[in-house]
Amino acid sequence: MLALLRRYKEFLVVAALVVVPLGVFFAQARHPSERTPGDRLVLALTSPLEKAIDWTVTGALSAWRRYAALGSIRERAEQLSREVNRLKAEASGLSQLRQENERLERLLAFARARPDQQTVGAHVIGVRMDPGGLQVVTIDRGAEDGLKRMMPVVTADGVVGRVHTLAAHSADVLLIVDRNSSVAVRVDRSRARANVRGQGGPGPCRLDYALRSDDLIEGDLLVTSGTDGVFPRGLPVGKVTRVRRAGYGLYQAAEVVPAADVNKLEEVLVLVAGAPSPEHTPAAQAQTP
Amino acid sequence: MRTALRTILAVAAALVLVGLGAALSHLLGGSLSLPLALPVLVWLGLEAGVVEGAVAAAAVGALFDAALGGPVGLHVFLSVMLFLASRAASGAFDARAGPGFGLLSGAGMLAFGLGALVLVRYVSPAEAAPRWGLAARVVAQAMIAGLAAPAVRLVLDRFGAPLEREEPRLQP
Repeated sequence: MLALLRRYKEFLVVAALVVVPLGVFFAQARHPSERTPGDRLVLALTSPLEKAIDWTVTGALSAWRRYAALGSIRERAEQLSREVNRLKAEASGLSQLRQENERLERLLAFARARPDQQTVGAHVIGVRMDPGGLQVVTIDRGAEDGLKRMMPVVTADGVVGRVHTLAAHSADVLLIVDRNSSVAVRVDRSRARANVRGQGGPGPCRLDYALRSDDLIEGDLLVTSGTDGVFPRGLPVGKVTRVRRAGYGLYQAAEVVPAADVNKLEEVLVLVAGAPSPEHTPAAQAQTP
Repeated sequence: MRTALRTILAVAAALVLVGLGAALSHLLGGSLSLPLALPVLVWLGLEAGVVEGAVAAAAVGALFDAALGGPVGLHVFLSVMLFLASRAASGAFDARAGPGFGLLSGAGMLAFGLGALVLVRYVSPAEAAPRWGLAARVVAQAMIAGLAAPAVRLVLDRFGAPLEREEPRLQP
């Protein structure tokens, strides 16, 4: 018997391993039991393992996602940075266009308000305001465009200067701040007469020939009087500041802040018709040798 | 000694793979359990002796019973049967190569899952019996087992290689 068992040991073991579980299964399947201590042991063993695997895999995935996200974020940041730079440039261009549009609109309104005067618009293409030289700007219109010497140059804010030197397609404009410039003006409020003369720099001008008896106070607006034969009457020239009356003499002194900021000129209007003929103006005659 | 070690290795590997499968299943959405441990039974069928393999398979089956929550004895029975079937099938074709091992594992998982389905349906009351529609999930599990099997085999071979070493015999 023992020899028989030894001979069929393998078969018997395997058969037992097949039949016994099947018997247990059929015996207990219809009556599900509570979980056994063995089940709980396996759960106790697998749970920490699952947690560890879950923690490791989750951590690795999370780290990878963060790494991938970082790469993606870096790429996105570079893209956004390029976009911001492009939009900044675009915004800057649009801002310049808007400002130019506003200036041109004001110039147009200025020209429309004076239908009797023919104007030529021009861009400032150069500035020469050397302290030892003339205070001039160069515009992109010249003799071929109908410009002549001594023609008034203005902006919507007021007088800029007059055409000084002509070329075919450009011209130098002598600014009112140049010391060779003199503009006949009236005090808009009191109608008192005077001259505005430049002082050779971009700062305020000087008010000449204002009688001591004239009504002049700081803040008064000065407009062209039209008596110099260059500028038509009524154009804003500047505002009076720092009025000084000496204890003696015929005249009072004052400084004038130009109405048009000569440091920020971009577009100007040249009054080509309706202005007095330059050949017959006192200023032209005075400059003619 | 080596027989016991192989059994322990098989059970330990199955324990780890059950945990890994559960964790990955959770991470991937948890709608299908990943039968990563099943190729261990096929590996036993190819590598272990009859008694040794049957005992190890029964131990792995007991582990399945505990971990997967089926009726007691079901997975033990099926595991031993799969071990025997693998052992029988290994003579029919080269199941030691990666594709063959994967194919055998996939087929084993299919038989294992369908067998469990049939048995549980047989012993369960009609209102509690699993639907035949679950067979589709068994097919999906079989494909997963087949795909994962070569990797599982690599690990098992890596750790099982020392057990294959022959002890030098003393010369008379």
